Amino acid sequence: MANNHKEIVFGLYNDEEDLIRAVKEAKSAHLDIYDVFTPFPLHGLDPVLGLEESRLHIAGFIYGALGTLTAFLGMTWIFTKDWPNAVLVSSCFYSHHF
Amino acid sequence: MSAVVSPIRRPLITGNKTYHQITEDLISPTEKAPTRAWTIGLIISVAVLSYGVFCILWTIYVGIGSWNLNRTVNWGWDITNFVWWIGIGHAGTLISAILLLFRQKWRTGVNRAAEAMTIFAVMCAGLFPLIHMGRIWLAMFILPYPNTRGPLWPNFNSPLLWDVFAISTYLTVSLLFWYTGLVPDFATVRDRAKGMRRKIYNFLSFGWTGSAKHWQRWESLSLVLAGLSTPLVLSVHTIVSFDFATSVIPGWHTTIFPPYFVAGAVFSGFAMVLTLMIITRKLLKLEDYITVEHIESMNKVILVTGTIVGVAYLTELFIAWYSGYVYEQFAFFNRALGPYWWSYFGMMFCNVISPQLFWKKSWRRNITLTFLMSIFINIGMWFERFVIIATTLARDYLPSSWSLYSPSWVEIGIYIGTFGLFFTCYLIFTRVAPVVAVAEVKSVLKTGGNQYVGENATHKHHHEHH
Repeated sequence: MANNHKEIVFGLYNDEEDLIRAVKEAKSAHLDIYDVFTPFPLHGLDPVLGLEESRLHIAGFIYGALGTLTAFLGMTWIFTKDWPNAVLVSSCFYSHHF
Repeated sequence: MSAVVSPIRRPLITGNKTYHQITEDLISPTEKAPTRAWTIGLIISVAVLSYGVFCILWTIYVGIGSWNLNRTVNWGWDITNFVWWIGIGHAGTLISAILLLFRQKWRTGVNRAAEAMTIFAVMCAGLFPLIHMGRIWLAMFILPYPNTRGPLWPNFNSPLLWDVFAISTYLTVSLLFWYTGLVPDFATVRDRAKGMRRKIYNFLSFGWTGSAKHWQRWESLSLVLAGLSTPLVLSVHTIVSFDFATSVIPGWHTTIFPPYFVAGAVFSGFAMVLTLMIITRKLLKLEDYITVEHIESMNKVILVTGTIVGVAYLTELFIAWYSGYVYEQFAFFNRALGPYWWSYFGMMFCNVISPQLFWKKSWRRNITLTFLMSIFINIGMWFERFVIIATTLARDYLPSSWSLYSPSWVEIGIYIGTFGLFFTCYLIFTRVAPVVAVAEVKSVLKTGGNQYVGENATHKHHHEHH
């Protein structure tokens, strides 16, 4: 393909197996694939396209850990500093205070 | 997709569907004018809901005195209904989260409707603790926030507060899960729509195009939400059971409650999914998507969880006797043979004996029997909560405090009203969103459907080359 000349090819496939085969062929012919649109998730397409794995699950874990930490620190602060409560003598926050 | 073709696996979707036919079958119910059955259903639901709203307003205006609760029986139909509705929600989460992690492909046929059911059931459940507060305008006191009342915080050692968090987390995660699944389907509706309808669905689908990257994010998010929901299936009803198990009431103070409540919740949830699905598949002509295979799979879950519940009932009886503790023994003697014996035997019959019929394969696959059974289980599981709550409280430590309880018209009205809320929401849902997850069903079409090559195969695998 010449440098100042671009050709765009659209492919339309009725079957996901044909589509994956076509993507592989296009890749081996060193064509740039702009995007692939499908009506449902196609397993095995991401590695062929070279898409990096999403970091969503790492973010989810960090958010979850932060939430848990906030909850525990909040409860500890409330029970020991902000509103010490004699009813809670037996709880894990208190046993050494009373 | 490198589909696994199993020669013995029956198709998940029958009728030799193409991808386009799936879109037509599942999206078109949202595009046509409502049927007469739907309109009549909605009118009845809204009428029932209105009566429920009236009874709730009556409760708030007059006070909890309009209920027949008394000093001994201070939890009655309200908490029974709360636990019952929360339990019903559990099937949706189990289907969408645990069955996703276990790669159970049949879940795609029922997950959308089951998740919707979960959300509506949790809404119905949440009503009861709120109105039971009596002064509903102080409901925000249950939330921990810096305030000018001391500052006064809720008691983090109380399972009632854990319930607030468990249920609000549950509702949030279920809602996110449901909506994530809806985004690609809303985009499909949008692509077929014109005018205002197109604009609305365009907004709802967040500019979804179906690009490879979209699907990658979508699958990633589904997995994260499934991971978050899986512990919720177990934790929500565990915490509901703590409302009872951490008390010192004989009959409530038992360690078996958490697993027993979770099994019961899944049991009752699947019964409600079956009740709804059997009606929905008939009215919306979805027999090719919600097949007898789906019904059989759900009946297997009912058989397993129903048997667990049965074992739990018998274990409770055995432990009450074996403990040698006279109050515990009396509590169970009273449950079975006291003034509410009929609710105990109703519970035993509906929950323990009747599901055992499902050991027989042809009965698991019988739609009429399944429908009747699902109604039985819905009733039986309501009785279970009534037995645990009201009959236990009615016999206090002091015989002078013994009491009986039957609901007032207001309590009955509120309970019936929640059915109105539930079915109003469900009927509207069937009109605005596809009741079967279009994209997810398409992704399992080939794994057991078109490519089915075993005996009775009506269709051989074929390629359409272009």
